[in-house]
Amino acid sequence: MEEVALGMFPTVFVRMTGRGGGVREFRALIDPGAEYCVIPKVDAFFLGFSEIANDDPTGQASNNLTFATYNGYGKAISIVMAQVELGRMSFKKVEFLALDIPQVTGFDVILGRSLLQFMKLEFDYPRATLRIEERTGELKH
Amino acid sequence: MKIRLGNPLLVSARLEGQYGIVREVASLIDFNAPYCVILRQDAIDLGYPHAANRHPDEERTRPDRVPVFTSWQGIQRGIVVRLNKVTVGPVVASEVDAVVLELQHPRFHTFDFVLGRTFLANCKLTVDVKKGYVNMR
Repeated sequence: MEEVALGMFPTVFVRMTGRGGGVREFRALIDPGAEYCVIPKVDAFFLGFSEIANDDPTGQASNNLTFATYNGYGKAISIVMAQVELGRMSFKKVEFLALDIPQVTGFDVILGRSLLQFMKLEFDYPRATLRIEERTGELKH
Repeated sequence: MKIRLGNPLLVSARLEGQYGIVREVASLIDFNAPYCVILRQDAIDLGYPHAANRHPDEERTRPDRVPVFTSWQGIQRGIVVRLNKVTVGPVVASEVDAVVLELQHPRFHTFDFVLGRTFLANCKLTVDVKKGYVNMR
């Protein structure tokens, strides 16, 4: 179990392993309202997902998908991260969208429901804390 | 109160504006939005005529009503209105700030209001994505 301060955004450190064994550490926003996890394109590229660099509109990758947020629509490439580690928890084959996040936010990646489905979260806004608990006996593939 | 974890995560909220005017609106729960978000027409109908202004114009005369804040989409600003009361199930919050944001496609949404931290500061939310529910208390 992890307990973090909510702050302006509830963030945690995660360690991600991409395609071919590349590893990077990120500050991640926990957002159960987001359907997908999100990683900036440049980080996805350095983690081995070279298809991110394809900006040819006539030959789009088959894993390119359209998504909706309450502030409009967007397009992003869907990738599968080999492993995501959060504290003592470890998850394999997690789906991410490669999409740039404004730097001003102070976090690098977003953890959405494609990963949070394997955790139980408790947002205690009056105490300004977030408790993260791994769902026992599930996933870990 | 148990809420089904749909996509998007919607609940019904009761907003009380100036002069006792009340509206029931479909609302989206956004765990990380610093402010609640209200549509311009709803803010006007609830008794806040200054919501009809453009935020650069409002900022010239009442800069205190145009906060700048960070969301995951970057730096945003909008005109703020202070709702007298916001009620979702058993949770009642008074003096809740909501901003009027210029959304790209406001008529395409299935909700009219976003519940951000200015409301959520009054509750504790337990999220279980696998079981598909959010518990609010």
